[in-house]
Amino acid sequence: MKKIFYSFAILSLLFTSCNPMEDIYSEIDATETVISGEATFTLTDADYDALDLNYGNFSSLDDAKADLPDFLSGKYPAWGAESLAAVTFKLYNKVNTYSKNIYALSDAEHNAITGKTYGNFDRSYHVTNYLEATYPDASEGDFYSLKYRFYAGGESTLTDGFVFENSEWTKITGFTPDNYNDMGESYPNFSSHDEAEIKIPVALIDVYKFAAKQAGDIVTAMYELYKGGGVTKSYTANYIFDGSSWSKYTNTINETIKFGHDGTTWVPDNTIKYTLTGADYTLVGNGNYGNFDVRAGKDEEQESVRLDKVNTILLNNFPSDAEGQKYIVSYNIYNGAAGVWSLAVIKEGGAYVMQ
Amino acid sequence: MKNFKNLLFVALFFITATVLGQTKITGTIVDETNQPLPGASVLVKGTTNGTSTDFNGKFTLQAKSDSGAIVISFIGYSSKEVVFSSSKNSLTVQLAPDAGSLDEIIVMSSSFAIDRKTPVAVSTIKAADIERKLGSQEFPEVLKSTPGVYATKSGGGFGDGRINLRGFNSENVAVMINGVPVNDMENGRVYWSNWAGLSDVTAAMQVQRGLGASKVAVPSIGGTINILSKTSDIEKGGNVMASTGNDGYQKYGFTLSTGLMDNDIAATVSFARTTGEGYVDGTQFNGYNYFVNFTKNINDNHKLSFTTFGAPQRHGQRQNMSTIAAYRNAESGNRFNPDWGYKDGQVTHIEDNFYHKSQTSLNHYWNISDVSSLSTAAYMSYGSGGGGGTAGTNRDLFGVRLGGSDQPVDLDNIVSINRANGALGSEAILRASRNDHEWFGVLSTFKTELADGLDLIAGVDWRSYTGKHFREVTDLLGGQYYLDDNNVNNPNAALRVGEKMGYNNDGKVGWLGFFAQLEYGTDNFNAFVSTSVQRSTYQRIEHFLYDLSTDAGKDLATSEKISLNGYSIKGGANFKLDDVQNVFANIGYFERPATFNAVFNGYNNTKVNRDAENEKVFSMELGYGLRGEKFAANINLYRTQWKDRTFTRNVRAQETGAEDYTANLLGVDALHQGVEFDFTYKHSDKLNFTGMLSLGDWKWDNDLVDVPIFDENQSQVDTISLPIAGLRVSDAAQTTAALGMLYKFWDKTSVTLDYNYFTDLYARIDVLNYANAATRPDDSWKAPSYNTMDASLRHGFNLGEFDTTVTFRVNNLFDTEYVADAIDASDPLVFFGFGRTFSLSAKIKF
Repeated sequence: MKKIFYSFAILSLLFTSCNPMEDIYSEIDATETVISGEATFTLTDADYDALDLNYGNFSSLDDAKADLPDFLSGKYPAWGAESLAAVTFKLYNKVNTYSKNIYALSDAEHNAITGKTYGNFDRSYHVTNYLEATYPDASEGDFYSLKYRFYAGGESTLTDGFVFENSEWTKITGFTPDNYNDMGESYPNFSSHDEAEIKIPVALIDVYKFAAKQAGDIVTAMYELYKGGGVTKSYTANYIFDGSSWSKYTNTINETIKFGHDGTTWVPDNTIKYTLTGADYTLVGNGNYGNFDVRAGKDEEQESVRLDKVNTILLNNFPSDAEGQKYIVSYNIYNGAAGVWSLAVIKEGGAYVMQ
Repeated sequence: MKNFKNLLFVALFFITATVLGQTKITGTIVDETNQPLPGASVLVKGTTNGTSTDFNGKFTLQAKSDSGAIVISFIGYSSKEVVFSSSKNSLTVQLAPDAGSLDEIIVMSSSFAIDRKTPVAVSTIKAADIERKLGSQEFPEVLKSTPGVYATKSGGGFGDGRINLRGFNSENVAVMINGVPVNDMENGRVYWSNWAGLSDVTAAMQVQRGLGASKVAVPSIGGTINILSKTSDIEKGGNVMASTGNDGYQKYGFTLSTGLMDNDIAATVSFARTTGEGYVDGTQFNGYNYFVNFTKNINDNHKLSFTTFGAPQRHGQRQNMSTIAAYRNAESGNRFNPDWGYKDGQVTHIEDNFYHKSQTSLNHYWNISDVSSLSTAAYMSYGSGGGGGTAGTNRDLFGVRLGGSDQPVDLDNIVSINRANGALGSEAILRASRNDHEWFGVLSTFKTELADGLDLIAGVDWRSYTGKHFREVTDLLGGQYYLDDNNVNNPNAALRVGEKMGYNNDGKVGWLGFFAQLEYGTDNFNAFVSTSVQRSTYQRIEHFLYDLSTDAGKDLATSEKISLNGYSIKGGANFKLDDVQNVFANIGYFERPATFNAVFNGYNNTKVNRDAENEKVFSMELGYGLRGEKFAANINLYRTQWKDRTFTRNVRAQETGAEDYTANLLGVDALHQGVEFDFTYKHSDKLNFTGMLSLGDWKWDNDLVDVPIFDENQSQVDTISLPIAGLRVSDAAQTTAALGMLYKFWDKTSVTLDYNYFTDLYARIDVLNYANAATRPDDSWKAPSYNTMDASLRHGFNLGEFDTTVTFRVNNLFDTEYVADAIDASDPLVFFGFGRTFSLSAKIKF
């Protein structure tokens, strides 16, 4: 009797000790769980320190592309394939500034250029001709501030800066007496640099009122300070537009590079993550359930069918995407239970294909 | 063999213990296989003095006289009178199985099969086994160790269990309670949560595999599950019980019986409450169950019995399966459930189920004469409840979780979004899909003896059913209202909680069936031939789709009536080769009408599939039985063909404005065949073994190749192919085995071990989805084979003067992880079976 009892117990233990899920589990456990995140951020001062960038900016885009992947890996150590990051950083982009005492042209100097006797210029190239005649051996970076008279329906006195760049003279428009008047100055100059820095950004809004500027546009302005003893000195200063107002340009511009994680490292990548909306499902005839039915034999079982529908949706929603634009499209599925799957596509030859 | 025969009679023991004028009778009641019969009723003849046997079949009774007779009865067995005297007071009685004894519960005596007489493959589970082994398992799981059965907990919610018989799902398995069919009248399914408390009052449960012994038309393609409830106990008394178990399982209940009173009425009331957190996350449950029976012996020829029972419950569900990897990586492992969340700090079930189905019947049994009897059951059943889920224009919000994808849904997030919407209303809500019903029926069976050994049984089966289908808003989740534009009579409705949305229609199903059976029996030979005809009538009432302010709309709201006919014919014979061996065979063919939804398959009243085809079943079976003194066994072979499974295709209307047409396609057939073996071996008085092996070979039988599809004008519009020949039938383990052991330490203390093995379980597919597939698809994903071990320990003792039993059960003793349910997909979706669970219960009889 005991024998039977024990053999029964042993037999059952034998059967029961093997885990039916063993093989499947070892397969699952061998697959690492990938965390994929999406981040958009701007580097902070602390970030530049961490990147050993003492000046708080990158010297070039190439530097940024080379340095940021490691930085991202450090910042998001858990993130893997399909992660996206759009990093905005400062890029060093020096725009020179100049200063010089104003030189006021005499009547004779005007007449020498025009060959007339009015003591003014009446063609825009006259001042350039003057510069070329006066400074035939100018070298790169030479700067002069000229006070000259210009006739266009009436005579006005202008003070503009001229800088010799790329072997030619470029004009930096100075403020006119009227401009100074608008800025509350009785004389066509400021009393201090500080005053200039406060008033010029306000004035620039009016100056470019009818010549719309884009965010990120940089302009050079020139202003004067009275130094005493009849000497007035011109200074150039650079300003950057942010879309609504001007501020002093500090020789850096903001650049954004998008990175994607390819499974091992971050690489520059334009991928956009997109989740289908109710309207998208309706567009491709799946509005009823708001998902793709991927059960065996059902409409969207085949990936090619889902790709077709995703292509239709992306072309409809983003018609102006450039070739090479990539998307990771997430969509709801029903395979017996509700789930979310995704497709990675790229625009090639006017249509989205699998990456 | 002589011994065996002798045991059919009383064994006498002479003991000289005489108490003047009073006799203490002790004894053991055994069944035809010499197994003890627990719960058999023992009554001193002519008195109300009685008792019932304990789980070892033993009883003790104080008779107030020196001599007399006792009457022993048990459901499914012939009653037996045994004389006793002061010198003959220790008895061993063997009861013989008999249909006649079912009279006492006054239901259709037709539904229970009798061992060695009825020629069908059968397994019977008695109340004591249910009490001992069920514990906190799902009711159908008590059958898991019988051949041909695959029972699981599905998602694991309270009452969400399912059972497949010979590979057929509940639509193809007839379930009868006290002889009354309870499969849903519209879709044929069985919802076990409706019967959650039934196990408490079950006297016996019998699985008849294959055609079965039922005379009424039932969908017994896989088989029939007969559940016989207790009626009123003859003895006065009752019991209280309490259970506890894993995950907060708590159950309390009592049963009270008046006994047979002077006015010849006996009444029994039973009530219990079950609550728990659920093994699976977010499946909290709260259920009650009640049972009331009155039985009156009007006179020797008439008995009346009134029974009402039901089990109102509400439970959180796990509706959606997940991939194995999702469970593996989830914080709560295999208990992970994606279908619940937190709202305001409270667990909130996104998928839940709440239902109360009451089943009430009045049974009348009439002994018309010595040779004729009539039994009639008039019954009604009301169901109310449904299942919860989500609705709204932005159901993606239910994917926002409190952390990773394995965490509960953040419902507070939806509340804040809906609140911010203000007068724009809710964009995501909780709703319930209701499926209320009213069901009335009469089942009447007349039996008469035409000649010696030849009986005629004939009857009528009338049913009237109305199902009410609608959705209602159950939780606006912080929004002011829910915008619904599905009701033509209330367009752009701003709905509040409790108001109807989505759809609203009634299904009316009428049923009229007649049946007749001829039975012939001699000592060694039994045979029957049986037939039934049935007419199902379907009508659909629509509340939303048609403008009820117009005459045309009112006309459309009530559909035409569609009547479909079915019939069956079957026969079988059993031959006793000798006292221990018997052979049987049965064969049958039946046709059953398409379901309500296959007829009204456009979900409206105008697109009606008038030409829906019957499904056909042809089944054959051969069996052999052995009833030795120590060893009893059955082996049987079956072959069941399920032909012309409902397969329809929509044919677009050729003219604008015309309704689409439904083409009905024939030839989707499945062939289920197999071998089933089961045995009991009584090694000694202390040690018993049971076991079974079930080998199924269930496949889809043939291909459809370029079958033309015709429109209503009989012109061909298309062709269809369905290359499925040889594809494995999915969703039930095709091979199962079980081995059980019972060891008695002493009289009332015993332990059981039950080992179960399941293999060849293929993930669920709907083969109709493979229409026009280029080649035959591979078999669906095959789940890993698995085995489980259950154990129970039972100890009986007297608490004061009360008979007390304590039972401790452990299911899945070794905490085996296994896939019990799966849906086929590139990465299959599964439900795991439960890990180790336990329950402890105590029952005190008084």
